[in-house]
Amino acid sequence: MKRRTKVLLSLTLIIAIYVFVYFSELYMDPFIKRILNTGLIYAILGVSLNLINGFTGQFSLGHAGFMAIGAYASALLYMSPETKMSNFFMIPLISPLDRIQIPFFWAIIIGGLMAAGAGFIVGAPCLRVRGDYLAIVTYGFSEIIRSLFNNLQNITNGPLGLKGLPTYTNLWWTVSWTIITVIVIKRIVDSSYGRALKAIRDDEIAAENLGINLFKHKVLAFVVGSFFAGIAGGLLGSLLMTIDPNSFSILFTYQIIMIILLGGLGNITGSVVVGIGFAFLMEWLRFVEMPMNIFGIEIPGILGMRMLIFSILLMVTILFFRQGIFGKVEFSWEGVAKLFQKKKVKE
Amino acid sequence: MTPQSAEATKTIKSVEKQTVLKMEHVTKRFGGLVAVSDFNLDLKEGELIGLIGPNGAGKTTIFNLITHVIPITEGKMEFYGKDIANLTTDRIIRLGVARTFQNIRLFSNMTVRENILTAFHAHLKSGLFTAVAFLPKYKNEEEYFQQKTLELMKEVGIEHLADNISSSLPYGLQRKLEIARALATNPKLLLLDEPAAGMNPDETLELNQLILRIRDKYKLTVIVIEHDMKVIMNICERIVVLDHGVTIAQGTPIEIQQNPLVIKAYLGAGDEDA
Amino acid sequence: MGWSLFMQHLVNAISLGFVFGLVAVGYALVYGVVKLVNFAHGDVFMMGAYMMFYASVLFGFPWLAAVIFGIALTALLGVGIEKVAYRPLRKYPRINSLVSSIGMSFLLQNFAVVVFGGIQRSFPVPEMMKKTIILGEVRIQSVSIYTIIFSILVVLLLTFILQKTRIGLAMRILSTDFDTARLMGINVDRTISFTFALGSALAAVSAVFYALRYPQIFPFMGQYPGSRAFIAAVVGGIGSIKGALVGGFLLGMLTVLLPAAFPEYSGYREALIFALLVIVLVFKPNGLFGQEAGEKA
Repeated sequence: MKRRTKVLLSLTLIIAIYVFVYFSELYMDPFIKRILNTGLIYAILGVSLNLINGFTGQFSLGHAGFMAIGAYASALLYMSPETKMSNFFMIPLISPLDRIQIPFFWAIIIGGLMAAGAGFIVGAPCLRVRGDYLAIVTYGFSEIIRSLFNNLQNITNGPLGLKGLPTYTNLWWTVSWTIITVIVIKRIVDSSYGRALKAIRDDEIAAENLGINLFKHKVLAFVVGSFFAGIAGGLLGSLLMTIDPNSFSILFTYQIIMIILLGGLGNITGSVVVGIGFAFLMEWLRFVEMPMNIFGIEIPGILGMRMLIFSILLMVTILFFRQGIFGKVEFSWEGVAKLFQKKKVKE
Repeated sequence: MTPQSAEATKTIKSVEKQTVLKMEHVTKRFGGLVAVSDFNLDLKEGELIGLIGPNGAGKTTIFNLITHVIPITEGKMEFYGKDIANLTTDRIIRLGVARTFQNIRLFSNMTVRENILTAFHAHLKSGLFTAVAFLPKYKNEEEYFQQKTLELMKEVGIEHLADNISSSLPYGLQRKLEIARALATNPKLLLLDEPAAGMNPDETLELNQLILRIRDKYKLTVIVIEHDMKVIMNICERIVVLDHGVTIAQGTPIEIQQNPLVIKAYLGAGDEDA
Repeated sequence: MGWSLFMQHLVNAISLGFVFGLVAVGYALVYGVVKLVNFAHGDVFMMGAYMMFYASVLFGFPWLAAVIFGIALTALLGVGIEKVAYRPLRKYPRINSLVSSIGMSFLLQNFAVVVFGGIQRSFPVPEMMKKTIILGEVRIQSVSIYTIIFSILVVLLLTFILQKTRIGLAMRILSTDFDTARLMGINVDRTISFTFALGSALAAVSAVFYALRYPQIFPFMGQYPGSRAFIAAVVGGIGSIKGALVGGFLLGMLTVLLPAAFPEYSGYREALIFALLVIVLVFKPNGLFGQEAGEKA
C-alpha cells in the first residue's frame, strides 16, 4: 500500500475520532466519559512504557516516578494561587510557585519536559547496570521520588497531597495526547532509530558491534518514554482532581507493566487497546465486589475481588500468552485492507 | 594448486601501501591469566590474512581487543594511524572496522532485511526529529539504505529470503547474512570469526569466492580466524599462528604448513616427527 | 544521646538487621541458583506470617507448633510457586520470569486481601517474648535477644546445609555454572525446588521475628521488608549469602540509627536508602561482594 494512501486513511480516521469526541463531550454519560479518559491515560502510559521496556528491552520499573513528576509539576503550574494557598495551609508553598498560574496546555508540556529531564538522569547510569539490576535501580528511583515528594512539604505539600485541582482534562485533551503519543512513538519505532532500539533489545553486544551507541539510544528511549509518562501524569491529576505522592507507587507501575504485558511487549496497538480496556474492565469488575443475589442467596461483596481476578488474568497471560493477547499483530491499514479482501472473496 | 591459491600467493606489489591496522606489543591479562602476549601486527591495505591456532589460543580475544569489547592491558593499537586503544566499540565500528562472531549474533527476532538495515543506522545522518517527522532528508537516507540492503542481500545470495525471520535460515546462510550485515557498516577492515564453521565443502568453496570477491569489490582489508584449512590455505596471503596467546609463527601458507612449531602446536607436545 | 539509649538503639538495629538479613539471604539464595529476582519473596514472607497466625488462632496450635507448621507450609508454598510460575518459563528469555514474579507478587497480595481480609490482625506473641530485660540503665526487649540468638542459629544451620550436604553442594554448583551442572548429573529441578523451599522457609522465619516486633499483620506487609531485603541483597551483591547478610545489617542499622541520630531528616530515610542503592549499583554494578559475570563475544 502506498504511503500516501496510508497517510490519507489515517487522517480520515483521526477526523472521525474527533467527530466522535465532539459528540461524546456533548452527549456521553459523564461516568463513561471518566472511564474513557482514564483508559486513554492508561493507553499513553502503556505506549510510553512499551518504548522503554518493550522495544528497547530495558526493564524499567520507574514509570510511576515520571508520572508523579509530571503530575506535580503541571499541577503546581496550572492551579490558581488561591487553590494553592488553601492547600498549603501547613507549610506555605515556596515562591514564585505560589503566585504563578499558566494555561493547562503549557503546564502539561512543562510537566512532560521535567519528567523527560528525570528520564535523562535515570537513563544515564543505565548503561553500567545490567538487566535485572536496572529494574531495581528504576524501582529505587521511583521510591526516591515518592519519598522526596512526601517530605518536601514546601513544594508538594507532603503526604497531604494536592486537592481541588481544576478539571481541565476532557476527551479533547486525552484523545489528542493519545494520538500524539501513538504517532510519535510509532514513527520512532518504524524508523532507523527504532531498528537500533530493537537491536539493543535483541543483542546489545551485536548492536554495539554494528556501531550503535548504546548509551545514546537507551537514554533516548528513557527520555521520550518519560516525557509521555509526565504528560499522562499531568492529565491524570486534572482528571482525578487530587494527587498525592503515595498514589504514584510501585503498585501503579505494576499495573502499567501488566497492561503492556497483556497487550504484548513491543505492541503499540496492544497497549492502546488493553489500556483503555483495563479502565473499563476494572469498572465492570466492580460488580464482583458488590453484594449479589443469586438464586435467592445473598452473597456479600468481597473487597479486593476485582484486583484478584485481574491478577489471575495476568498470571494466565504471563504463562500461556507470553506474547500478550495481540502477540505481534499490530493495527495496519494493509491488515484492514486484507480483511476486506477476504470478505469480498467470500461473497 | 588451485586457481585460488595461485591468486593468493601472488605477491602483491605494495608500493607504499597504507597501514590499516597496527598493533604493537599488545598484551591482555585477565587477572593472573595472560590471554594474549606481545601481539604485533602491521596490516596493509588490501591484505587478506589468516589468524589460526588451537582452541583457546586467543584468536577471538584479539578481535575483541581490536573492537574494544574488552580493553587491552598493554600496548598500542592504531587504525589508519589513529589511536583506537581507548575508543568505545561503537566508535571504532563507525571508523570503519566490522566483525562477525564465532557464535553468530544475528537479531533473531528480525527479518533478514531488517538485520542488514539495522547496520546502516551507524551512518545515519538524520537526527531523531528529522526521522520522526519523515522529512525529505531522512526519506532519502532510508531509501538509500533499502536499496543498498537489497544489493548486499544479492551479493551473498539471500535476497529471496529477505522477509524471513533470520533465525529460520539454514546455518550456512545465517553466516552469510552476518557477513552482509557487517558490510552494511561500510567498513575498511573486516574481521571474520570462523565464517566457515558448520559449512560443507561446497559451501566453503562458495565462501572463499565470496570473501575474495568482496575484498576486491569493497576495497577491504580482511582478517580471517579459521580452523578450516580449506579457507586459510586457499585465500590468505599471510598467516599468523597463535598458541596460548603467543605468536609462534607468521608467514605465507607454504611456510606455515612446513613450520615445525606450528605442527607441534596443533598436534601437541611429544610428537617429534616434523 | 546517652550511651544507654544508644545501646538500646544498637540492639534494636542489630535484631532488625538480622530480620532484614534473613529475608535478604532468602532472595540471594534464589537469585544465586536460578538467577531470578523473585519479586514475590516479600509476599511469601507475608503468607508465612498469616499461616502461623491462622495455625495459632484458628486451629489453636501452641505457639511453637504454629511457627513450625507455618514455616513448613511456607516452604511448600515456595516450591509450588516455582513449579507453577517459574519453571515453565525457564527456557524463555529472563524477562518472562521477572515479569512472572511480579505477577505472582501481585496475585499473592490480592489473594490475601480477599481471603484474609484487609484489616490488620494481631500476631500472637508468647509471654516470654514480651518481657523487657533491664541491665542497669539499658532496657532491652527480650524479642530482640531471641531474634539475634535464633537468627545466628539459622545462619549456622544454613551454612551447614550449603557446605556439608549434597544438596547444598548441588546448589553451589548450580549457582556457579548452570550448564555444566546439568551435564554433571545434578537433578536440576529437584535442586531448584529445594532452593525455593529453603528460601521461603527463611522468609517465614524472618516473618516470625518481624511479626514479633510489629505484631500487626496485613496483606501488604511484605512490601516493606521485601524491598529492604531487595536492597540489602543487591547492595551486598545479589547471589552472595555473605553480602546479603552484610547488606541486611547495613539496612537495619540505617533504618534504626538514622532517625535516632538525625530526627529532622527521618522522613528522608527512604530517599536516602534508595539513593544509597542507586549509588552502589552505579559504581559497583555487582554489589559490594558480587562477582563479575561479564558477557562477552
